[in-house]
Amino acid sequence: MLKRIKYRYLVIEFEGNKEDLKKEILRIFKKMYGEYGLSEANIKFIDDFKPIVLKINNKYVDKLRASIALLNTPLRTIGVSGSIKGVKKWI
Amino acid sequence: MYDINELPIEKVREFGWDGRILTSKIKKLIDPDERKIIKVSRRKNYDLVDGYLKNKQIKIIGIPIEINLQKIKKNPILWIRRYKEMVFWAIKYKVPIIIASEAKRIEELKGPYELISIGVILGMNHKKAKEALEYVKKNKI
Repeated sequence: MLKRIKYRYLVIEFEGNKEDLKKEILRIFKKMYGEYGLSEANIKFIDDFKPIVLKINNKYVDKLRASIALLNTPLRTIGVSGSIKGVKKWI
Repeated sequence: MYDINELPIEKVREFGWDGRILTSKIKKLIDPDERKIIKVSRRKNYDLVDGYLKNKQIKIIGIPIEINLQKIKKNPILWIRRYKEMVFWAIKYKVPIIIASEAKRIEELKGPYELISIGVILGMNHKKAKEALEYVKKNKI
């Protein structure tokens, strides 16, 4: 039986062009884990907030963080939450 | 590929913290690609934190394996493969591991959880990866 996919919300603090960073994150993740990994991770960007908020499959959080570590841009992950409501405490 | 059980055992003379001469069985592990020698201690009960063995024997701190983030950045396919194998043997023979970002510029600085997740994709669990970050602080290299 198929299980419901659980998600995590990652908050990233960054100064600069957001769109460039989004492309860069997707590029490095695709480079590391391929197209299949990218589709499994199901990354979505939520634009309602000032910092970058990512929605991702909970099994891929470590993999995303590892690929973020390989970026050359200075950024900081503030925290990980299980719901949008939990994200609001960091904003 | 090489098998650790087929490698020859060598007796190596080492000095303890109080000047006594110690001899211990140490196996030589040679990385075929790098031609580097990694010493793997055969002792059990390797206590990473205290610096001494449990039954009052003097501990020999082996050469810790360093995971360098900049090398992974340069060539991820090669270095992830190498580090995965090294981490596997290091966990098996209880050799300490260090995860380092080796940042020379501000942009290269990374948070602790990013480095922990690098350890996780190389085959460690979260606890081991955290210890790998704290090793330098605790042992004051």
